[in-house]
Amino acid sequence: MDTAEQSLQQAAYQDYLDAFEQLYQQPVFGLSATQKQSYLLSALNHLHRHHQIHCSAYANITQGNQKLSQIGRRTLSELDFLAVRLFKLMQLSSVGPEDIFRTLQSSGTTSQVTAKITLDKDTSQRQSKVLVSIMQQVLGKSRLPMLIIDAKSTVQDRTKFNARAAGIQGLAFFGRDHTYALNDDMQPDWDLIEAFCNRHKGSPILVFGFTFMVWQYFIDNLVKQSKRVDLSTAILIHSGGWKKLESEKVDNQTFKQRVSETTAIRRVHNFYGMAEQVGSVFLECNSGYLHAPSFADVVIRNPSDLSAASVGTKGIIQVLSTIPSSYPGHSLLTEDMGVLHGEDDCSCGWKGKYFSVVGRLPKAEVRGCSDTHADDVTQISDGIRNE
Amino acid sequence: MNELLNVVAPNYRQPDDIVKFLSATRTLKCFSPIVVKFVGSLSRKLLAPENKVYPELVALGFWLRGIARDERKLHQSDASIKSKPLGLVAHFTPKNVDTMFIYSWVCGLLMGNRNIVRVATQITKSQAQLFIAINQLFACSEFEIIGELNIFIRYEKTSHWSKTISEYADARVMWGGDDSVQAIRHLPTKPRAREISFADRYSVAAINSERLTDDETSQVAKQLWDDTKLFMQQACSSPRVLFWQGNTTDFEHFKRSLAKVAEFDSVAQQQLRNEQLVCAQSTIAANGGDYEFCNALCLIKPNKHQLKDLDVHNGFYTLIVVNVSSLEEVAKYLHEKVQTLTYAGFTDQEKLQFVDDLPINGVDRIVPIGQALDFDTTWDGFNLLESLSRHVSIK
Repeated sequence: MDTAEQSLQQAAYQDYLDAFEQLYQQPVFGLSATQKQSYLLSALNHLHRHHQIHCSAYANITQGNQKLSQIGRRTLSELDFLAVRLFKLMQLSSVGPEDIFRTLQSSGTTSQVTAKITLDKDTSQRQSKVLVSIMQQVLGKSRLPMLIIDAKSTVQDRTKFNARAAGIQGLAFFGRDHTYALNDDMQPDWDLIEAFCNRHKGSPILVFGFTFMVWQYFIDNLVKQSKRVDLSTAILIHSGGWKKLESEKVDNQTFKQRVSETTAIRRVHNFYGMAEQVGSVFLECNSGYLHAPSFADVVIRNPSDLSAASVGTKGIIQVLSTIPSSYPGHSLLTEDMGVLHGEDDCSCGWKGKYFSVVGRLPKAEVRGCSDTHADDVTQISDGIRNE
Repeated sequence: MNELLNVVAPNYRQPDDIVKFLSATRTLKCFSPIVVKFVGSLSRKLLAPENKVYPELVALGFWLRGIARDERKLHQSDASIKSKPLGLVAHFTPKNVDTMFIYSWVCGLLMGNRNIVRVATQITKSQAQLFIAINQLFACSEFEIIGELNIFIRYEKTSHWSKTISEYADARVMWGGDDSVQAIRHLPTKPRAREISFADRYSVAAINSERLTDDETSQVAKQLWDDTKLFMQQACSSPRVLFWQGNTTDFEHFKRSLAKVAEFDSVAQQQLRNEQLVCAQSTIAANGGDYEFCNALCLIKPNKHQLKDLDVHNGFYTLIVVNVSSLEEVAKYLHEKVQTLTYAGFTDQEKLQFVDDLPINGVDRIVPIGQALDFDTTWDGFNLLESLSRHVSIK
């Protein structure tokens, strides 16, 4: 590669960095549609070009739409997107091996196939920076005493990747006096919990756990043992999806109600995120909807032809993020179903698109006589969402 | 031990009878009249109006009807050879095949064998329907002997039954894929036991539009869809690759015809497009190229076609389209995993030349587009009737 080409490439990356910086200065949930579109599209168009230059697989996949490459996409829904499962099938990277800082591996509970995400220092730092910006919108700027609804052993096993460990480590930054509420057999350590509550009586507290962990091992035990804890000053952050709670008919409303009854926690915020787009999480607002922060966005697509669906129509969730520069993960079609409720007009006061996740893309019952790897291959796995 | 196993047919049998069944030795003569009668009765049941909603049962019904009617044609033609049954034939079928195992079972049955058939633990509606018909026939007194010599069972992969059955079997018929076949292969059998395996195969289609009129091309499009729509997995016999000889105008016309017939229920198949996207993007990532949706189908046009592209192909009505300038050129893309080549627009001369060119292990069937799924007693290179019988030569 000659120096002219090299400097063109640096320029493309610099354009992206400038666009990202501009976006970073904006209020996380304060950008209205037209403003956001302009900042976001600028960053994403630059990212698209950057990945086309540095990732031949991405260039091959998106080259079909070359005609739009020159001027850039005019709307978010025109942007190319990758099927999220590709990260399980191949290494997609926009940096050379010498620049790899970390490789995230995600592994679901049922699948053997792992998604591999290549991070360089820049992307990794950007992920942290963005997560902090988003979470501070509900947690404030200081570190809060943190009660983790999980066992310490979950974060101690370094031999294999653990989605819950990753989630805990990511959120641990926002806390101090990290206390694990469950002991190794997943039963609540009531004494420890009580001591924690007493230590921080009257102060704001952060409680974090995976959705099913909170329900099954904390709330359920409080109910079964007719216990109550006073966490009235706490905010509960949880993630992981509702699938495991489906059989018990627990939806968001029921969850929050029971949480409030047993712990007095009034502020509950779910978040939706994935290993393939760490950092730009979609946080639940006070009205119960997931919001796209300034750094990210969603498009809902009709399953029949992948065209953009209108507000109120259930479809496949596509997630956009201005964070990933070391791997082409800025525009991904997930295997989750969701529905867009609106943009900028949520009753909570936050701007941006707001949506709900309604479940997974149904698995196919594939008929034919070969060994079906369908069981393994269609099962999406990820870092933060857990099944 | 027996809680892990249940008997699907005859439904009057108990799991405890299995070991006795395995060690019994009674067989019938090849093509014995009662068996032929049974096959005919089964075909009538499958062709009954209530089974119209199961196209694979209808196809099976027609095939059985043909067998019952023309069974004389299947007899050994050499007078100095007498066909005799092997003894006990064990059929191992994988989880996602509704009814394919009936084909090998009927071949085993026709040759007078006792048969033990392991069916998948997941039952589908068409399979349930099939067993209702079989059990009804087994319950008839005239078919008592068929019920005595045949048994369909279901058991968990983790149980010892595959091992036990293998010890008694005189032949094992293993339906795929590669992993399932190898798992059974590892289990010891009698020294002279035969193995017939249907492992991972895929199929291709070749069209020469230069020889076809527009109407014929439209007709071929419809038939290609018929070959594809039944099994979303597109394994074995449905085409996964289309070799196209012809210009782009003809291909556009062909695509339009395909779009007219290739319908799908987008509500029932919500995952279809995502599955197609995964396959298309994986294929193009390595090779460059393009893809498009054509009603239910996804047509992938890679800049170059390699065998390993098929590794990510998981069915879902996806066709890899490769431009060729002759049937001869198709031959260089083929190898042992290709089972069937369906064609349209090629002459007999070209087909014969093509068979001569074929790599030594590939392509066991060359049939017109539209007949890809027509089962034949010669399958995957095996003459099943011969494979499931002994030939006693008398001089």
